[in-house]
Amino acid sequence: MTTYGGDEISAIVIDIGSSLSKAGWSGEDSPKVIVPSYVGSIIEDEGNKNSTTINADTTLINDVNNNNSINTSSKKNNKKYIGDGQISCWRENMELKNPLKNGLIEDWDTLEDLWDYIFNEGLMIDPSEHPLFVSECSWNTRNIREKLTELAFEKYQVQAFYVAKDAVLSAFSSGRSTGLILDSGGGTTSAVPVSDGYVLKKGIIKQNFGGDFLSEQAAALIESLYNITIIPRYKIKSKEAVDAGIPAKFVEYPRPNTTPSFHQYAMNQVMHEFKETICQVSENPYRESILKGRPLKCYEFPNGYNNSFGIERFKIPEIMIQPREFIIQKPNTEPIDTTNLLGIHELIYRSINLCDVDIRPNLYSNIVLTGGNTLFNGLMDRLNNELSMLAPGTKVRIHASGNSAERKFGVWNGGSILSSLGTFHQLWISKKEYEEIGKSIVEKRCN
Amino acid sequence: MAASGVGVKDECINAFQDLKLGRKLKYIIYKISDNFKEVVVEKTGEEGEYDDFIASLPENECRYAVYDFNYTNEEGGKRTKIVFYTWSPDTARIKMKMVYAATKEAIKKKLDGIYVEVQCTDLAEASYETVLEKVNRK
Repeated sequence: MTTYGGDEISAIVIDIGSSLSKAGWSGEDSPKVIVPSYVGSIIEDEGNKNSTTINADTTLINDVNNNNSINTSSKKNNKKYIGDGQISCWRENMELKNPLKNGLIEDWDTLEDLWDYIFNEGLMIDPSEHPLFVSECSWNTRNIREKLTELAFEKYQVQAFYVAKDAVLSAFSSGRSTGLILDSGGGTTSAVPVSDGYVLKKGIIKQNFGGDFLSEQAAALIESLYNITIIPRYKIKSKEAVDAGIPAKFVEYPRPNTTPSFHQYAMNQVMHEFKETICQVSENPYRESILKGRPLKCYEFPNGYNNSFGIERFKIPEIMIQPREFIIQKPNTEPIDTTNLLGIHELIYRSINLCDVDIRPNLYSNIVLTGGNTLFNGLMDRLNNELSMLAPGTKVRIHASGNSAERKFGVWNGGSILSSLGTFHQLWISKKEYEEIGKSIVEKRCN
Repeated sequence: MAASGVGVKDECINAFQDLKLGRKLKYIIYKISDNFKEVVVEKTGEEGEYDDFIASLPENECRYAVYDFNYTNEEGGKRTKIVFYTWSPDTARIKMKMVYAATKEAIKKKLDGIYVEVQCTDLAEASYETVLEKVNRK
């Protein structure tokens, strides 16, 4: 059997997450390209072909980020906007699309746009000269992974291909071949048991909400409590400094025809920063009377409104622990059905209980936290606390890398290391093997 | 599964046979060669208390190890069982942790006769008491 000799040419490693896509060279410590997993395009009216008359103000915003390259896809004449600078920049009728839904690839055109951008603009290489290593979520379907293999070999003509489960990569990069991987990202939160390097499919429990949902909830909570409207950056022309708690004084841009997807993205950016700056999880079971005594933290929104926030700091991330009690229903929107939602600790507990009795103790003592949404201070202590109540008598040990880059890019990093090993060449699906056997080889090789 | 492809040198199996059948060895410490190509024997011990064995595990690097574990079971009978360790301290470099985790199945598969397997990231997880509990539970 001919195998690809992995030593000579560096492989490309791609991890498409629900909020960030990471890509770079195998063997390096961090991804070269980190872009939001969103692709912007202008929904055009007929006869308005070149609608992108970018006005002077948006170019200003653009200058802040130097990542403002534009990807032009060859097959569609439509201009694509990818990269932080491009998609955060307001354009009339610009819609943002994400390739993933609930962790699975759904919008293949958008995925291709992202890959095109990564190869052409980000890494500036010809993918047909390299092997490609991608990660996938643990509940990926056979259909999708075969299609992915096909895409890599047929459209991008890669030299060799491999797809690995993100949970396994996270487990390995924490030094474990057995463990329970709790991954909470932008769009999904999942508990995935891994045993001796294999995902135990029957134990996977996932919930389709993560950091983005928390951001939406945070906005709704702050708006209703303080009776303000949170204005994303793209609308603000100028602002004046105001005292804490005083309504903001600012001037808005008109911004006609903003798409809901763009507005939502911009709102999430604001609330994401808010969460990162001041939110934290209560280390002990949530008691409002005690938490009210904790110090307040100041935060200023883009329009200049600023205040000191107290209990909200804990209330927002508490949604991850007690979603049924803490999710707020927004007026004028469809109510969220919370009856079947589980807290993170319950996800872990149920997932472990779906596995064989023999390996449960091992899973409890090797819980690994990963994903940007697990970065809240206090989460680890709280989970320890909750799990020892749910499963008394078992030894619970939670591992989370203290390095936030490792937690955000852990999956990518794992792929980078694994694919860089000289000995990994036996595992790659080579172009020749693909040509002989076809796409079904991925199911055998990368199980 | 996603594996490293790192090979296992024959000396690893031979040393294991010496421990299992020849009863010549008390413990074996394996490491992955510095070029990440194969698993080799780093050190063997003909005798030695459990603590001496544990002391041979480096503080900031990963290893595999096999120990011929003596204990008295709950009924008071003396037993000896072979325990396999993956030693992966949190302070080790991420590349090392990754490669050891992704190679474990390859080495374990070659060592026939392991009674129990211990995955440890710190000394508490490798302690005699913790391992004893695991052995007894089986």
